[in-house]
Parts: sequence; C-alpha cells; structure tokens
Amino acid sequence: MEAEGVMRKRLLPRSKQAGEDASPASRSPVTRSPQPGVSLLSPHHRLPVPSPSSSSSPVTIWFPYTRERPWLTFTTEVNLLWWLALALSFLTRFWRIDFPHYVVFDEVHFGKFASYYLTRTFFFDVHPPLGKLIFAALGYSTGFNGSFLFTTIGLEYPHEVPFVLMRSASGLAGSLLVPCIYQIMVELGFSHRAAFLASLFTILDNSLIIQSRVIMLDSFVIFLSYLSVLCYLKFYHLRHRPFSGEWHRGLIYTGLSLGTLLGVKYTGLLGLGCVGLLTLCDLWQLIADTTIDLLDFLLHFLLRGVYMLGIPLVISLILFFIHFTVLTNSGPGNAFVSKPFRNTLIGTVETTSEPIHLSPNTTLLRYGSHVSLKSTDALCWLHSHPHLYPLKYPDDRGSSYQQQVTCYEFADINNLWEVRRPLGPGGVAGAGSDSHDPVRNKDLVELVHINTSKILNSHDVAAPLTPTHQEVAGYVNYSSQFVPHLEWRLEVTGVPDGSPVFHERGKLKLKLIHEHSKQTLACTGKRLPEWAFQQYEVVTERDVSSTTAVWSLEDVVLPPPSNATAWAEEERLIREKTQNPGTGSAKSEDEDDDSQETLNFWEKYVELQVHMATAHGNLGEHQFGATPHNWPLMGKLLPYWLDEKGNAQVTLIGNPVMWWVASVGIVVFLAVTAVHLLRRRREIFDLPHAEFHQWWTSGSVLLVGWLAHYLPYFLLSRVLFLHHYLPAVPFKLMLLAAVCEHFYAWLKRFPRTTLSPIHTLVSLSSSLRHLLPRLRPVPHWLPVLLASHS
Amino acid sequence: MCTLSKLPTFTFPAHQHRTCTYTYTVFVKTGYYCTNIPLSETGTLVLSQYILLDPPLLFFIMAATYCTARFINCRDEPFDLEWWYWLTLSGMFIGCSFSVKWVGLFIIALVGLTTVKDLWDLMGDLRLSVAQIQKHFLARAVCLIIWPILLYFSVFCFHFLVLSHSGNGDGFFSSEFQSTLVGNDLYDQKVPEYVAYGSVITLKNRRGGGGLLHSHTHLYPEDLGEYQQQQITAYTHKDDNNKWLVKKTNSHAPLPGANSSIEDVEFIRNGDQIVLEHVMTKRNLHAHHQKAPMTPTHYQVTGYGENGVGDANDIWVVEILGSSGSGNHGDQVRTVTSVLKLRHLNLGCYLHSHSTQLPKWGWEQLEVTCNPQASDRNNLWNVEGNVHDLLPHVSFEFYKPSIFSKFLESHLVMAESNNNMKPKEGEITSKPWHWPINLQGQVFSGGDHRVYLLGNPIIFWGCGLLKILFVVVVMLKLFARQRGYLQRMRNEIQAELDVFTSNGLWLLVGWALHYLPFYLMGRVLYFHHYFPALMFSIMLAGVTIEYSIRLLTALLHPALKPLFYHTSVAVVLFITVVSFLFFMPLAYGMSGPKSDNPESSMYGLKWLPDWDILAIV
Repeated sequence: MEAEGVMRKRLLPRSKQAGEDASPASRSPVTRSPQPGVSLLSPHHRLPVPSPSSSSSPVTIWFPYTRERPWLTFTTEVNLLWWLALALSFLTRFWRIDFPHYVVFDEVHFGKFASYYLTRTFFFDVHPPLGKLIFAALGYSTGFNGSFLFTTIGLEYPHEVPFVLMRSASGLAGSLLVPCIYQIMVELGFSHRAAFLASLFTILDNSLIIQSRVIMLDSFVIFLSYLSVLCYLKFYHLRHRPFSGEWHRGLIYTGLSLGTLLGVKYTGLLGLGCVGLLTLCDLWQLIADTTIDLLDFLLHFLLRGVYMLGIPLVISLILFFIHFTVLTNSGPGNAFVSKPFRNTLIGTVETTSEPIHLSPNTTLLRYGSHVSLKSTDALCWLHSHPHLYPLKYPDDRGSSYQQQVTCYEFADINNLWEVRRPLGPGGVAGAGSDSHDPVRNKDLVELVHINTSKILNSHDVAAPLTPTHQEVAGYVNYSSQFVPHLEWRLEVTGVPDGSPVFHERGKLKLKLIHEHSKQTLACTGKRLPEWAFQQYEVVTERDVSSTTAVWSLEDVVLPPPSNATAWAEEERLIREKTQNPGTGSAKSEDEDDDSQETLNFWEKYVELQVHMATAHGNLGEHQFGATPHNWPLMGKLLPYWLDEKGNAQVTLIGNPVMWWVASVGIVVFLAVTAVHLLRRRREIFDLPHAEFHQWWTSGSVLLVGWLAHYLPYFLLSRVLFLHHYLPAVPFKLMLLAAVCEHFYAWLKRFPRTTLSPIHTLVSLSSSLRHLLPRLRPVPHWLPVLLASHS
Repeated sequence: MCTLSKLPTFTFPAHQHRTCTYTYTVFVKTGYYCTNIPLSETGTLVLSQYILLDPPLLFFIMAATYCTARFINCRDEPFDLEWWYWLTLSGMFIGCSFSVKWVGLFIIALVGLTTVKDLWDLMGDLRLSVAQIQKHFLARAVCLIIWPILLYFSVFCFHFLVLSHSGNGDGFFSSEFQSTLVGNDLYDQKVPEYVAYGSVITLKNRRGGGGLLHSHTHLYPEDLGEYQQQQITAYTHKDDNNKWLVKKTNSHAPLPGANSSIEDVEFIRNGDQIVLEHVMTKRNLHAHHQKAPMTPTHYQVTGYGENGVGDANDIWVVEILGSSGSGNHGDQVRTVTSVLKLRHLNLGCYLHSHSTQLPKWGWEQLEVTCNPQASDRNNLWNVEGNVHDLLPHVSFEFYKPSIFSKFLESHLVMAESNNNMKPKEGEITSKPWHWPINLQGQVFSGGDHRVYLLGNPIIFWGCGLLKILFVVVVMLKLFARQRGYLQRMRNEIQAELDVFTSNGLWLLVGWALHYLPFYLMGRVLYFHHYFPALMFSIMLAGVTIEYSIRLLTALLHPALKPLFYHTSVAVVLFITVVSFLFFMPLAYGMSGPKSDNPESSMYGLKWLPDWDILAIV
C-alpha cells in the first residue's frame, strides 16, 4: 500500500513539472534541462516545428525524414540513483530476514497481541491498534490461528507461525524509509548527490536495519514519521496555489500519514509536533503576507488544523472500532478496564457469588462466619494470597515482607475471611470465643484469612504505592520486632452501638477501623505491579469518613448450626427488640451492584484512551534501559536475542562510525552556521543570499526534526531503550549529508585545492567499508558470532 | 552546599532591604511596586530570617542582575570608568552567587545570554572595527568569566585553608586527599610502605566519592537468589568493619606470628592470588555466579566461609596498574599510591563499586559487585589503611594532591552527593509545578513558635496572572509587527512598547532560567528553590503593572490623569500591604490555636487544602 503511494508520489510531481513548464507563471528549476516528454503517455500528434537552423542550412538534405514522434510512445525518466537506493535498502532489510527462528525481544509483546487478535481475545496495550492489526492481518492471511503466544524471548517458532511474513511488514516499512529520505532531501533543496548520500547513510545504518527485521512497531513509526514530513514538504511547495485541488490533496496525504503514524504508536505525537512546528512557521510567514486578509488566514489556519488533526482522529476512531469489533472475547485485558466495559465482552467471569449455604431467614451476623467484603468504591473484594510483599520497592523503600492483602475484582475462594473475636493477651482465647454469638456494632473483631490462616494486620509501614498510608498485611510472625495490631472495630452506620448486626447480601455497609492506629481499612484503587498480580492496593486511611473506606458485606457463610432453633429464636428476639434498624435502613437503598450496564463505543473509546495514557508509568526498571543522554554516542546497547546454545546474538547497535560522525555533524552544522551568521552580521557574504537561506532553513528543519524526536524523552520518567532514539536518527544522517554537501560546494570554489572532495567521500565510505565486515553479523544475524565480533 | 555555607551566615533582615534596594534601582520608575512587593512577600521574609544560604544567594543574584542592567545601560560610553565598574561588579556578584550555591549557575546563564546579545549588537555596528570588537569581547571574557572563576576558586582555597583538620567528611574523599588533613591516619604518613601477607588493610574505591570496602553481619535478603550470604558494601565512613586481612590462598599456610621475624614477611606482588578475610566476621570476600542485587549485569559479591575457611571462589588476583596501564610482574603493592584491580580468579570479573545505593536492608550503603567488564574505571582500588605488626612504620612521600586536584575532587564528591539527595522518609517533597501557584508550603518550625514558609498568595497569584498578561501582550505585539500594524503606530508609542517588552522579556528569561531547569533535576526539591525565580517574577509584575497603569492613564482625559494614576498606584500598594498584614503571622511565628479556630490569627486564611496551616499553623 504505502510503497505504491510513495512511488506514485514520486512520479506525480514530475509529470506536474511538465505541465507547469508550459505555464508562463512557473519558474522551472535551472537544473531541469529541456524535458524529453516526462508524462507517461505523450501523444505528440503535432508535427514538429521546423527548426530555424535546418531552414538556414546551406546543405540540401535529400531524404528529409519526418520528425513526427511515434504515435504510441512511453517516455519516462528513471532516476537510477533513487532506484539504486531502493534496491539496496530492500536488499539490506530482507536478506536473511527469517533468521533467527526464535522469538526476538519485543516480538514477545507484538507477536502475542497479533495472536490475541486472531483469537479475538481482549487484551490491553498502551499502543494503538494499527501496527498490531497489520501483523494480525498478515497472520490471518496465512491461516495462522493465533495459538502461538510468543511467550518468552528465545522460544523457537513452530512452523505454522508466519513470522517471516510478519517481519516482512517491518522490513517493507524499513525499506520504503530510504526513498522517503531521498525525497525529503530533494524537497529541502539539497542536490541529488546529497540526497543519495543521505539515503546511503540510512541504508547502511545497522540499527535501522535491525529494527526493520523484527515484529515491532518502531519500523512503522520511523517510516510514517518521515512519510508525513515528506508529505508536508510536498504540500508546502504548493503554497503559491492555496486552496487548489493539489493543495487540498497534499494536506490530505499529510493528514493520512500522520493518522496512520498515530494509529501505530503514540510516540508519533513527536512526528505530529515536528510537522506542527513546520506548519506554525509557515503560518507565521503567511501572517506577514498582507495580500491575504485575516479571514483567509483564518481559513488557512483552520483547514490545516482540520486536515492534520481531524484525519488522525477519524483514523483513530476507525482503528479502535475495528479493535473493539475484533476483540469480543474477554481475556487478559479485563483486569485493566471497568466493569461495564467488561460486560461488553463475551465470557467475562463475573461473580454471581451465591451464598453457599445459609438458612434464608438467618441474617444475623455471628462470630465464626466466613464473610467476603467488597469495596463499594473500587468494586473489588478484600483478598489475600500466600505471596509476600516484596522486600523492597523500586524507590528503595522497604516493606514489612508480610503476606499481601489486596483487593481483587473477581470472586475467589481467597476472598473469604473469618470474623472472630480478638484473642486475649498472649494469644489466649477468651471465654466463649468459639461460640457463635451475634456480632454487635462497634465490636472489636479479627479477620482471619481462611486459606492461609493469616490475620488481617496493619502497622506503621508505608503502603506499596501510597507511602503516606499504612500498609495492610496478613500478619507473619518473623520476630518480636513487628508487633501485631490485629484488632479492627466494626462500624455500621445507622445502628446503635452495641446492637447486633443484621446483614443482607451486598446491602450492609460497614467500615473497619484499625484499633491501634484509629485509621480505617480502604482500597486506594491503584493497581499494584506484577508482584501482586495487578490487583488493587489496600491501605489504612486516616480520613475515617473517606468513601474509599466503605465495604459491603457480601457472602456470609456459617457452619451449619447445631442448635438451629435456638439461633432462630435468639434472632427473632433481637429483631423484635432492636426494630431491626440495620437492615431496615440498608434495604431502602435500592442500588444494584451487579448491574449488567454496558458501554457503547464512545464510552469504551474514551475509557481505553484514559487507561492507555495513564498506564505508561508502571513499567519499572529494566536491565538494558538506557537514558537519553547516552543515545547519541551509543553509550548502551540493547541485546535483542541471544542463542541459548551457541554464540549467535542479535544486538541493537547503530553503525558507530556514522552515529558518531553524525553527532559531530550536528556540532559542525551549528558551528558553520554560527560562523556564517557572524560574518553576514559584518556584511561579509560568503554565500549568495539564496544559497545561504537554503542552507540555513533546510538545515534548521533537519535539526529541529532531530531535536523534536529526541529532547522530549528527557522529560519522560519511564524506562527508555535505545530503540526509542531511532526515529531521530535519519534526521541526523540527513544533516550529516547536508554538511558534507556544504563542504563539497565550498571546496569546489577552490579549484586548485589539494584535497579533492571526491576523495573525502571515498575515504568516508571506505571507512564504512572497513567497518561493515566487522558489524555485518550484528544486523544479519550470522548463526555463530565469533568472539572478535562482539 | 558550597563553601560559603561553612562561614557564619549573616542573619538579619538587612538582606531583605538590600534585595529590595537593588530591585528598586534596576527599574527606577517601577521601583515602588517592586520594592513593596518583596517587602510584603512573607515567604521571602521567612527565608531571610534564618541561617540559610538563601538570603545571601538571593542578594548576590539580585545584585548581579542589577549590575548587569547598569552595565548594559553604560553601553554608549564603553571603556570609561563607570562601564568598567559595573562590569567588574557584575563579574564579582555572579562569582559570589555561584560560590554560595550552584543555583548561581542560572544567573551566570542570564548574564551570559545578555552579554551574547550585547556582543551580537556590537557586531552589527559596522562603524566598529574588528579590533574594537575583540577588545569588547576580551573585556567581557576577563570580567565575566575569568574573574568569577578566580573568585570561586579562591573561596575554595580559603575553604581548604580553614578546614585543615580531619572530620566526619573524610571518608568521602580519596586517600590522597585525606593525607592533607591534620589528624587523619594518613596525615603523618607513618604506615608500612608495602602490603604483606598478614596485613590488615582497608581498600578504597578510587572513584570520586568512592567508599571503603565494607562488610557486616547482615545477610543479603532471601529474594535475591538462592544463596543468602553476608553483605559486602562500600561505606564512606571509617569503621572497624572496613578492615580486611590479606591471606594466602592456602588457608593452612601459616601467617607470620608474633614471634616471627621481619624476614618471614612476604610482600604481595603484582599477579599474586590472595584471599581477603573480613576481620570482624571472619568471612572471606567471595563472588559467585549470581546477579548482583541492584546491577543485574554484574555478579554478586558476598562474605562467605566460616572462621576464614571458604572455597575456591574466595580467590582474587592482584593486578597493579602502572604508568603504562599495567604494572610489571613482581611489583609490590604500595600503600595509597598503588592503583589495584582485584580480579576474581574463577569468574574473571573485577571487584567494582559505584554510586548505586542499596536499599534499606543494606543500610543504604553503596553496592559492591564483580564487574565482567575489565576496563571499567570504577574497578580501581587502592590500599588506604595498612597495619602489620612486623613491618616498620616509615614515612614516605605520597603523591600530594595539588590544590587544583583537591578542588576537582571535592567537586566530584559534591556533584555526587547532590544527585543522591533523595527525600527522607515521610518528608513532604514538592514538585516544580507546585511553586508558582503556591500550592504547598514548607514547615520551618513547629511547636509553640510556628513558622511556615509560604508565599504571599496575593503576590504569587498576581505575579502569575501578570506574567500571562505580559506574554499575551508580547504575542500581540509580535503579531502586529508581522502584520505591519505596529509600523503604523506613533513612534513614541512604539518606543515605549519596545522598552516595555524588551525589559519584560529579559526578566521573563531570567525567571525561566531560574525555574525551568528544576524540572530536569533528579534530586529532591523544596519550595525554597523557587525564590530566586520569584524575584524575577516580581520585577516582571512590577514592570507590567507600571506599563498598564500608564497605558490606561494615557487614554484618559488630561484632567483625570493625575488622579487615576495616583489612585491606581495607591490601590496596588494597599493590596500588597494588606495581604502582607494578613499573612504576616506565618513569618513572625504563631502560637496558640490553629487556623480552624476563630481566635487564631490565621483564621479563614487556609485558602488551599494543601497549606498545612491546619496541621502546623
């Protein structure tokens, strides 16, 4: 798809040029010598105008042949450099793309997501769907059923997984990047020589090659970023014909490429920002044009806004519509979305949690009952499991290292707690502790986790995600250092103190006040990381009136009473005596927690966007994470895959010579520009004005492009990898080519110079040639990597 | 942070007045608002009352700003006495600001940018010859670069001169550095010159701010791998747990005892295989094929063995670095001067320490690992302490660090501890975006005399609004100029607008330079970091108020002009003074009931929920 678009786009302006030449208004560039019929089919039926030279010739020609062109001609201009660049890029990207036959790095994620699409299983990812949908579509076309889940790096691909095809999608995007680079350089006014040099740099960069050979989204992102810049530049060159058809088309192409870019990954916002900056500069110049009145200017402004932001929005909506249409089955993404959202998925495990056995008329809460408590705020159950809090958190705080207490959204046997009387001092049960007396309001109770027999405890240790609150844990007795504070005061509103508590499933709202700290049990609604299975955090809250602290009593299970009649009698008596205020007040609330409320597309779309925007921060540390400041000099590499048996490996590494030279190139560009500016300030004009202007503006565009794709990462606090830098790299390489050309043009002004400019280029490329054999195994994944290569 | 902190700081509100004076004179016309605003700014008042680095810092920053402004105003008569005077003074004050706190870097940036702009203008003046421009450039380079550096350097020299005695900061510095401190073990340089088997040594990591190899009875926590062995860390303080006994690999080989003679002593040579036994716990320095606790790419280093008997993983090979990178085989290990690497025999990795801290279980000491990468600069160690019963204590010449290398080293240490400033537990930290909106204050003193650092909200919010107004005006002006409207205005209006916007932009840049860099800092931040920026913000507000009042006045009927002008000035002054009177108790100290009590002096003034007026004040 994209390939065709680019080629057509490349051909279009040429045919346009031919048309333009005819019109007197257009100024044809000097470099374009007489056009030998560029349009694809040029039926020149007219007889050629007799040339004046032939008529004045003294020699008589005997056989004057007609100069009529053949009727059906197909004349075209082939830019061999461009095709060479394209061929080379395809060659480098696709050679041995099937190697290794193992899951490489983040193929774990994106391959898995493709499989989820094929099984229509709902998942959650921070990236928008387009890239993954492409992988899934390719898988679908070969009949892959999504049964392979790309579980770990280094897993061997079964033969039915079309991983080569999936990688080829990346490869295609990576290959088409090169003609984009070439064309951007041309659009920016650089020579074809510089354009070819820039594409050569891009072709030979190992990191871009590697990224184009794995099932990851970055290759798409890089390609689409540059495609949108290219489209914008094409559009920019149409500025002298505003609101014409081509002008609109140019804007639409820009919008489409930006839309697809943002449909792949939200880091595309950087590309949008880059194009946006260029647009703003353009608009700023338009303001100065007093021939455009303000209303027209407003139209200019609005149309750009509508095309460049509106089209991406529409594309995003379409993509998510497809996303929701495809993913109909509930799956691992369930845990990330709200309950009404989950209700739209098939097979959601919603708990009906029928009371297991309890005589229907027994609604008196008694000691010894097994209960489950549901947070009315987060709609999850108080939960514990035999896993401990991690010894330390990423921010170096320590935990109590006791058993986790969380809040879990699904019914589970681990949600059951026994209500019992606090043991007396020394752990000795007081008198009548085994009797099933009614629980009275404001009683002190202990909650014992049924499955692990750990008692609900809270102590002066900071909670995992909310350090200002106390941690809640299942008490584990390590030493006398941690004194247990196991007593909780059960508080029901609307019931007099000391009167027995009646319950009705889901209707009785209560609070648990921690006796020692006087704080109340609450669910913060924050998701704990992997170590707690992404369940919600439970803490104690100082503010006793907080809405997060209200729990409803759900299941109440009591051992079958031995003396049921006595119990029933007791209950009847109490009910009569207290006029049953507890259930009476609760019954009036007629809300239904287990509603089958569902969301429509718009609500789902908004909810998912919010989750995606807020989910980025939770990735934690990574062994190979690299900070932005060591990207330009490639301070840290990123191993993608390591063969378990041999020495073969895949590591993301740029071509060091080019990365380093290009980084120096940025400094050189700044220095050269500064020198030019200073000299022009003193009215010494080394370059003609137009030439300097081209150097300065085009160079700045490249520099700003690089900065726009690089600097924002300094503000991100999440873990970053070397591959995040890749979208900025081609800008740097283009700037290097521009600097090379500048020096070449400069040297040409000294005809007798000893240093031939050709020599410099030759020496640079020969240095690459020297280096490449050493690095070639890295992108091309030779099966066995010798020690000398690492 | 820097040296001036060690000097007694002057603690009187005089700074307050001086700050104001200078603010006043920068823009003489707008002075009264500017003066009045910081005078009524409770936060600045609180800061100025105590022994903190901020009052002198604020003063120096404002003084530098003022001198630069005066200097720029002298541009019509370059190289005359006044011109030199203000130039030198600017240099002096930026040097002083930087010597108080590194935040002074931002004022250097502002002055630097101003100077670059100034030079750019001079470049465009074609009447000036290149030689004259060079003269301009050199004068500024000397006065604004070299002279402040000299000042800064001399403050440090003074610092080293005054602090000549050993103290609790020793451990942060290298062995060479410590040898210059009176009272340090290394000062009199009476130690055995070479390390022998049986020596009890301490090992110092040669990184700037590197610690001593340390161990203690605590074990690595369970979840870090299957082996729960004793922790090995690097510790920057002197401690008996830093002592290690050098042994031969054959644990049965006798060490020279009390009754042996000096001939029995065998020195350690380059390439020897040794075992290091922790003296206090009798465990050997050990490494094995396990991930290090914080750095998963390295191997874990532990203390292993019982009473000095361990296994083959306790063997380390001594590698001495000579001048050519690696020493000759057979070189002896000299105390302090020999640079060592310790290679683990079985794993081939090198003993390594870096600035990564262990969490609480490791007492927040520095992590020690075994690094497979041989060339890492943090693999270098030297022997700092060396005790051997038999070897004579001799005095030999160490490499004495020059004042310059001491200067560099102390900067490395400062930079490291600055970056490692993490919030203490339970401490309320603040984020840069809190500051301009005065979201949260900082408790200065509790108890009965409660002082709370909180900006005067009227001034803070007013400054914010005026800043937005100013930016809008600038954008409108740019738009008008681009569109050609501005050129149609009367010349004096244009000129006035130009003065207003250029002055305002200069202050806005000053504010941005003192504020935005905090977003990039990894260290813990506090509200008081905002106050240098606030000064610029206040001046900008003053300029904006002044301009707006005069603009409005100009629109009025001539008869009303004086009345309107003076009334508006009075209103502005009144508002600031009254708001100051309201929030004054925060600065002068409160006692008695808290703000939820009607009797409190702060009753009803808790305007934002995060102001701790209720809890503290």
